Amino acid sequence: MKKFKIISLPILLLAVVFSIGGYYWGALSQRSKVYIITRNDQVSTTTPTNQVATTTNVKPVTSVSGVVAPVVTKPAPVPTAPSIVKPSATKPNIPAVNQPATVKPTPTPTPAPVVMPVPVPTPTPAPAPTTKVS
Amino acid sequence: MAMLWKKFEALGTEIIITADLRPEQKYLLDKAQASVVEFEQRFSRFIPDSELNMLNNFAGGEYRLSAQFADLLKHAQTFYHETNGLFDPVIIDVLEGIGYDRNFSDINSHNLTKQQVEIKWQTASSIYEHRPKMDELKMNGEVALVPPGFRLDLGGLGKGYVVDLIAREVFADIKNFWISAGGDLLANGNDEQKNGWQIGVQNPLKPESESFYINTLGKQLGIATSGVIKRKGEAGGLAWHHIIDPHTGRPAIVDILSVSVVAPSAETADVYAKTILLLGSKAGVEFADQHEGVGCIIFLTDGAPIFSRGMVAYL
Repeated sequence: MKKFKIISLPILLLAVVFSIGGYYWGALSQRSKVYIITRNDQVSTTTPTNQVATTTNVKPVTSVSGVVAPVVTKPAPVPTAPSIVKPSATKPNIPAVNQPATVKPTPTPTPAPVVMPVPVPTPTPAPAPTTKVS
Repeated sequence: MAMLWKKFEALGTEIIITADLRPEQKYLLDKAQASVVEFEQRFSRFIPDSELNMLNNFAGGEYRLSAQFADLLKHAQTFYHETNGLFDPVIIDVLEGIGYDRNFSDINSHNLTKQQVEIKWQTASSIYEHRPKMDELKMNGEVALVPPGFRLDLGGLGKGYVVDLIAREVFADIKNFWISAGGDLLANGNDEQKNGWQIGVQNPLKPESESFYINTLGKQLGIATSGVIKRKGEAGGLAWHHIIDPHTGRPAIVDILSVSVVAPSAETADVYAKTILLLGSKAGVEFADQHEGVGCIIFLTDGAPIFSRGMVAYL
């Protein structure tokens, strides 16, 4: 029983759809009048210029209520942050106006000091004492 | 401690000062030099405004001396008496008469004839003969009663005196040293090998070499040499030297070339060397033997050495 109910419901819906579709097809095929169904079940008739509108054969049509599909709001794309190029820490050596650029000489590496032995001065020996005629 | 020394020219000769000093005591050498220079400024007869020349130019009367000048004059009088006048500081007229009238290094030929030189020497001897003698100077402390015409020269003891002065006043606390003023010296203590000082004795025939060595045996000894081989000259064909015989007023004629003396002080050795030279070899040896702590080496005119008893211990 249950199986039957599940299958018959879609078939029933299809039958309703086809019947409504058939009705509209028939109305359109007459090409004399256009019917617009509003939710207030009021029918407004638009008569073409060279045609006279009549309401005699019009039946009220109820629109189908349905679930309004929710508007899916896509999240705004997160902008990719541009890569930030940091300036060099070293300022460019821009010479001042009217001043020639000072070219600093490349420092010569100081050689390691060589400790030379300090020569010890040899003291001149004292003259030998002599007694003599002066 | 190290043996430090200094050599310079002063008193018309070469001064050498050697002492065993610590580095911070090196200034003592400069102090000793300053003492010599000051002494020369005050007591040289070649410096016009010296204290000595102020006295020599004094007309006579009471004269106030500096303490050191008074001390020098007392020493001169003592030696004058002790040597029976052989050591005579008033010989200055003769020295000037024979041509030794300026610093010896400045003496040049006087271009005099022999006759002119003879007259000059005679005159000098005569003046000397009539000059006031050393014992005519009366001393009362630092006040002297100066006879008119009194003049003197301290060259006979000045070098020995200043050497003793340095030892006494500059090197009083120094054990090992020797000080030489042109070969008149004072030695004290020992040399670097801890032995007594070895003092060379000049060979008068070969003045650049030594004939003997005197060992001071660690004692304080004055050693001096006098001779006729230096400070001599020739004028008008007449030879002269600076050892004046006070008996003749002329350069001494002796049998000795040089005499080296050891004595308790440099001043004593200086004076005794001249005295022994004037006495001659025989009397000179006797003079040395009569004085305790005195010895001598005499080089005769032929170069042969003779020794007094007091010298033997030091050879």
